[in-house]
Amino acid sequence: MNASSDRIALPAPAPAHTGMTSRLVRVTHRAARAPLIALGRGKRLLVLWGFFLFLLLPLYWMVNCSLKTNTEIQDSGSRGLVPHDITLANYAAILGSGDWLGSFFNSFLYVGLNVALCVIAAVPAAYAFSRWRFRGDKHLFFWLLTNRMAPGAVFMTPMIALYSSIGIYDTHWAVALAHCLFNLPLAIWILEGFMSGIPKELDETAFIDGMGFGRFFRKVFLPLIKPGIGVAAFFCFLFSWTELLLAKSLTEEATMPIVVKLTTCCGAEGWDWGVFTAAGVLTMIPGMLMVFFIRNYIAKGFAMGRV
Amino acid sequence: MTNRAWLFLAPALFLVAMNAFIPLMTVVNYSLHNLIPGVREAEYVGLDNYRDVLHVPAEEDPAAAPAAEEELDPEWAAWIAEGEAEMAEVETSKASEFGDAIGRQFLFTFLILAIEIPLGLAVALCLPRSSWGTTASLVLLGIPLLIPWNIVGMVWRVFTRSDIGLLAPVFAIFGYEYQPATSPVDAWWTTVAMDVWHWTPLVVFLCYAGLKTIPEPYFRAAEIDGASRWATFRHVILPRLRYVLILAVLLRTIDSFNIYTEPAILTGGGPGSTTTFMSFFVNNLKDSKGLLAAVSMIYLFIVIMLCYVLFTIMQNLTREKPAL
Repeated sequence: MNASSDRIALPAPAPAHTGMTSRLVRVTHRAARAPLIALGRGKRLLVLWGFFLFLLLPLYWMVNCSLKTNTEIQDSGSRGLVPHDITLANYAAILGSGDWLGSFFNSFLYVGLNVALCVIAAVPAAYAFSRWRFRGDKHLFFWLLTNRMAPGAVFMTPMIALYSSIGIYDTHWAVALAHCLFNLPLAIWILEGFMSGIPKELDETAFIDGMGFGRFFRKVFLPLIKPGIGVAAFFCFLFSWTELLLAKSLTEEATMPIVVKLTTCCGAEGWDWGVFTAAGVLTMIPGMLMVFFIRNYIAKGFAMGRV
Repeated sequence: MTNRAWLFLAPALFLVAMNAFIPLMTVVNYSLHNLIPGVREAEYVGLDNYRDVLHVPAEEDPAAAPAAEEELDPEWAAWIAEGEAEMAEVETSKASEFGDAIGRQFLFTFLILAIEIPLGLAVALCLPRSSWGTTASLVLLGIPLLIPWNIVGMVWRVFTRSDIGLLAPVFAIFGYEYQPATSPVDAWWTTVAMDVWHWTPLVVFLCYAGLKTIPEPYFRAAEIDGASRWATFRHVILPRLRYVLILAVLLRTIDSFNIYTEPAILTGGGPGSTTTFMSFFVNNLKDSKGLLAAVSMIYLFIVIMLCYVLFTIMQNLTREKPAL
């Protein structure tokens, strides 16, 4: 079908039998979508595949390196796109080493604490912002946003001093608390977006029906915003898992997280590239497993729920 | 209701106070003191740290200085003068380095915005129409956003290192010697390429979310009017994407101002200090807390001003067109 015939088809009155109607609807629908594309089909595919190639090549190279032996990685003669003989020794080295596993465990521990803290504090706060008007609410809301935007480097030194003085420096709590700096505002903003999507009348009806606030919140409201809590928790997880600067300055040997461990894994005989890349691939996995489930919320999470 | 609202906000406010308010006040306090590591007593120096950083000469205190010198024997005086000159030199170099870091930061932000926004928009317009194609594309595009930032740095480091990477031999075929460890130009464009790799998908996601909100009849109307592809893009698509595009600019500007992890792992700020951006520069000042705090305050001021300007523009756009 080309565009000119669609244009004729459009104003035509709907025929009596339904089969014809659905075909017409389908045709006009397709025609209406066509101008969305600013380029021809060939050029579109070229842009798309070019970009995907750019996206995947570095990732592929890293996975490729993690399956090679160190000698093969550093062999300048054969920098092959495919490993000669695939070895899992690098992964075995990580999974068999208490040091590496310990740092993975450290990371999961403070990330888990951080997610729990953020969600527990953010749910009531977001409810307050979405349901009630009170003095200074708008300013408070914007101030929270600026905390998300504030550079971690600025807060690093005083945080070390503060946490040392209350005796939690170099513990998992220190990093978990510090990451609330940017994760808590994020969680509040995302949850506020989800909660504002639920009509206020629901609350009012429940209260008129004589439901207590606590019961309403647990039995009615929380189940409704479950997806919101999931998205907020995921993004708290993501940003806490990936943050390096604060995690690095608030921890020492005992609680060293995986991100810091990765920056220090330069052995006596130089870089152990095989193990280094294997650890990198392992660190990528949690995020990559989530991509499929979170794909429709990615824009929302990164845009603080403003899309 | 107000009391109940504050009660609900209490846990969040407590956490924010611990992590944002108290440290921020501490930074303000540090920035007014001369803190030398190992010396317990902090000396109040007013705005001296800011003067040093911004390269404004300190006001001379004519009454105090000569009186002190008379009591000292000349050898001591010479030694002190030498020390002071050295300190001044260090401060001057720090100040000019700070200026350089700000300059680099603005250039970097400008470059990545100039590449990521058009590229992201183009890719969003090129996304396939079929539903499985869209899903597959979104999943692929999501990968760089969801892998940890330090791994982003690592992926690019492994990819671009001249001894183990793929890029160097590929460029060698074209006769270009690629040396990111020693050549500032190579290091720069590698850092920019990494940021484009990492964050263009976000622009795509935002534009895609914006495109989905354009009602079909708009395109039908444009088609009936016989609008060309370019005219449709210019007059139908672009105006409706204003909000998401300004949001993309806001997010990318602020996040690129905070960039630390990726360049720290990819280039370590080098070669020399050619890829030392603001966060990295602040982190390098760890030894003199006073200067660090003063630099931090100026840095924070720049970030919040940018944030405020872009946020205001965004709010005005939403008020004009409440469709989104």
